[in-house]
Amino acid sequence: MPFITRKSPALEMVEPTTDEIAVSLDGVGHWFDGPSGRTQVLSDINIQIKTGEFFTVLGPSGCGKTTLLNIVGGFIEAKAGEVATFGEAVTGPGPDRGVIFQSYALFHWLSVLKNVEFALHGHKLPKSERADVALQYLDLVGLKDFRHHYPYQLSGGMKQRVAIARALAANPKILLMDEPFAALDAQMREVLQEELLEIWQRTRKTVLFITHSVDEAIFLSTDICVMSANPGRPKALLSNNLPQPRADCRARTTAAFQESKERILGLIREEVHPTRIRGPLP
Amino acid sequence: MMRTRLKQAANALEARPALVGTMSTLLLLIIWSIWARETETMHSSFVGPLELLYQVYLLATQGYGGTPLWVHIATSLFRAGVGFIAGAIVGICVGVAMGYNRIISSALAPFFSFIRPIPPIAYIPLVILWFGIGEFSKIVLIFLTSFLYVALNTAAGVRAVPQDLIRVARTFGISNFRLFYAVVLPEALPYVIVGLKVALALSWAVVVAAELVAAQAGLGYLIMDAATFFRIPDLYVGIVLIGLIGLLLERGLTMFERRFVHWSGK
Repeated sequence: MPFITRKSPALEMVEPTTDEIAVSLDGVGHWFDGPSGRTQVLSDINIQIKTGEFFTVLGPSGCGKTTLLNIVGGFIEAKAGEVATFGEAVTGPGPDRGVIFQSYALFHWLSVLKNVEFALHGHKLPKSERADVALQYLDLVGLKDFRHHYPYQLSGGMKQRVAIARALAANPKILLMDEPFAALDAQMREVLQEELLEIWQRTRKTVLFITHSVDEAIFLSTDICVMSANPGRPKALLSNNLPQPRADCRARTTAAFQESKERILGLIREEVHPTRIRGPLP
Repeated sequence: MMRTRLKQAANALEARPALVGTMSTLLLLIIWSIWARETETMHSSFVGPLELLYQVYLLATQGYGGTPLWVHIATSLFRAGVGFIAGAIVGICVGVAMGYNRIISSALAPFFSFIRPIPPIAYIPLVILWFGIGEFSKIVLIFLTSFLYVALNTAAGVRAVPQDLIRVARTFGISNFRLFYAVVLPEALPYVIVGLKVALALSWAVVVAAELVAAQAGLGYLIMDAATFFRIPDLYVGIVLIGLIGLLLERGLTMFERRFVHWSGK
């Protein structure tokens, strides 16, 4: 697919081709060998993420969910199993997968605009056009007026918006987000969740989202994978039926939301106290 | 009542660091002047500020030991400058290699650990034995000083580049070389500059020490010669000049830092 030109708006509605598999993890396992022996981090992960899905991996810390994201990102190589994006085996990081980290990972020495332009390096664009495209994405996250600021002059929420604009500017097919809002205060977190949902609805990128927040998972996702720990493996794959559009705070207080939350919390409780809670799933 | 007044005054002074600094300097100069006048007849080795100023004028116009004062200053600056810059360039290269490559770092670590606690002036006799008393031996000495601190700080800076930053950059499909000069180097720059600052201060100290031992010109030579021939006011002038130039060098590098690593520490 050619990169957006000046004439086409940055974000058109792209019809998702729903049956195409964007990410496939087939029997993926990972472990670290330490002085006290082998630590199994992930075991027997079989996940398929379809194009256009907002797929969230939800789990407690230490369940290997970040390792999972790093494997899909191509930053670390899985020790077992097959990882592919759009049918092609993952051999390393690439421009088809954009990443957003909790730490923002902005380039402190570059202005906001230059940070976004950095993502366009691989695209053969004249300099002026590069700035134009970067500006479109800054506009999308509402930071056009801050283009000459430096990251240290921005709040946490603004920094993460720049990181999102930067990741989108490279026009990846898949967005990999590792607890992107975990470092923000509660209000800013909700605002950014709503913005992200809106962006996702407009761009229909496939998203792999990592979080330990049940609310965040329910509010954002189309599909939720609840992980169990030691070793990390999927405990339950749920499809989220909370109605769309949700980019509105009212979605958070609906009965459907609470029901989903109770169900997922039940699954997690069982994980934390496996001997205490028994019986059928709600 | 009294306490609140005092508190107000303290608050006012706290907000004006430059004023407080100027006042303390003036106070010191006054005490120094009075003391120098009172002890004039007893200690010929005690020189007051006014006499010192006059001596600066004399030295500036007549030179010292048949050499103009600016030549002494330029000689010291040249030795320190060449050694510092050469050491910084090699230090940055070695530091980057150490920061990037664990094997290189581990291989060099014992030498750095061993050399670091040795004060550079301890090498002066050895360097003179090897390279004579000419310019080269002094430059070698300063090179070693500068190299050590720049290399260690650069290595630490490169190692401290956050993994997330490198991972994000890699997703944009950039080459290893671009990753190095567009991400790793700027991210490590604040560390490098700290190394440069320490290296510059030490280079200036070491050049004076080296000139004390063996030199025909330079500020170190000036103070040693002045002490030998009991030219006490000249000795004072030498010390004050060394201090002032060291201060200016440090200020220069700080200005460079504010200009080029404005994001550092924010």
